[in-house]
Amino acid sequence: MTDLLELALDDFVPSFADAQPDWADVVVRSRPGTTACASPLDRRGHPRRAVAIAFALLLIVVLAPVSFALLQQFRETPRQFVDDPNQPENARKIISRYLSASMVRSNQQPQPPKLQAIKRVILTTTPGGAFGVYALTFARGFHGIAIISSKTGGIGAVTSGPAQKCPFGWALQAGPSMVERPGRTPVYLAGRAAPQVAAMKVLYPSGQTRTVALENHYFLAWVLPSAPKPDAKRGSAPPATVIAVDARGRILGELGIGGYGRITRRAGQSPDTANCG
Amino acid sequence: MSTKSGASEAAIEEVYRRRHTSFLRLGYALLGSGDLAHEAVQEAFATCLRECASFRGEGGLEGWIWKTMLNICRQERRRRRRLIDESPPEESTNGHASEWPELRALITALPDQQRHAIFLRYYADLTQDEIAEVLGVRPGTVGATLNHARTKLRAALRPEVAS
Repeated sequence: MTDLLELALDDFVPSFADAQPDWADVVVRSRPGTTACASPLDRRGHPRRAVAIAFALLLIVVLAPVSFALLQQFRETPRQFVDDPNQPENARKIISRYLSASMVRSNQQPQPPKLQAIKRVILTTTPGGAFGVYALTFARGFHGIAIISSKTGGIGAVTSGPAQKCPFGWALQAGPSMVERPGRTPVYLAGRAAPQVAAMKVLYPSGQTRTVALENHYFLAWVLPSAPKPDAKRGSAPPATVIAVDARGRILGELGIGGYGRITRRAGQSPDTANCG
Repeated sequence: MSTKSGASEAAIEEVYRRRHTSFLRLGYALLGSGDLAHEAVQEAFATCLRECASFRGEGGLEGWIWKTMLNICRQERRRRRRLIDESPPEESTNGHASEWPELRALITALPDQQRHAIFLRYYADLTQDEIAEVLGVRPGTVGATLNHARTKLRAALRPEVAS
């Protein structure tokens, strides 16, 4: 099939060139029925298993300092980030614009904390294109999160503030949310997930669920706009719930998200902890 | 990589990482949405992990996974048929889908067997023998099925001649 038909078929399906495999999610989904795959260790018996474990421990001891150094490399100063060709071009532009705006704001009193480091924590494909989530470190102990579309001309959202603690037992902490064209494009919500969170879902009022990108203890959820009613020009994103579960599938926490990405405060919840779930 | 009495998790993971994009493309072709395609791929591999002990090694491991993926998509398609039919298809990110409007309708109208054969040949890049294994038919049948489908689709690509 090397003809016009091949070209036409190619055009009907996206290339998914930016799609990131998420094997951890596959493993989580395969539970609670434990996998009964043929494992080399199971077949070989205990003595060899002990040798393998000892070898793995030795590797960890040897490689840990190297891994730590490598991890540090992924954290960049704003200038390094803007000049880094491995980062999406649109993200570099938006951070560059953010830095320029910060320089203007530096004349204000008191001066806003300076952005010191950026680390990409998620890069994933969504129905609205590829999006990145970035952990930001500011001076004076401020922290922030940015959601940035990798699409040329795509928008971004940044939050920053003093490190906020959620109540004991928290699972999710909401960060920035954004929607490019309300009712037409997905509503995005990013945030932090507690270490025990193994998977996340968006639950729609209809009972449908959609996956959530979860990496490095950060998440990016998106809520698709519902189909427009016959008498309306466009649809709207339905109120949805972002749910976090542990490795056994037990619900650890949830966040309500409104049509424009606003977090819904639950009954009895104080404004200070409204973004914790 | 795999044994006669089961598939190893490592072998399944290797297929997942190597062919992730192809599985997504097949999912998109069958379900018409990137989001649904992602869900189907994750579910297909999770199913394979859960049921890896039942893999008998009679065919290839990859063929078994493709078969699982196809079944997941069929189930999902049946479940969502009404929804999919009522909502407009997602726009292809390659951006030229509107150049062949009749082709989309023709692909949708193809019998399941022909559509699956075309998608498996094109998006999964499987050989005739592998497609036969996934669809549970003889390789010769796959050849004929592909020919029928191609003939119909090519007709949609021919420029119309004004009378």
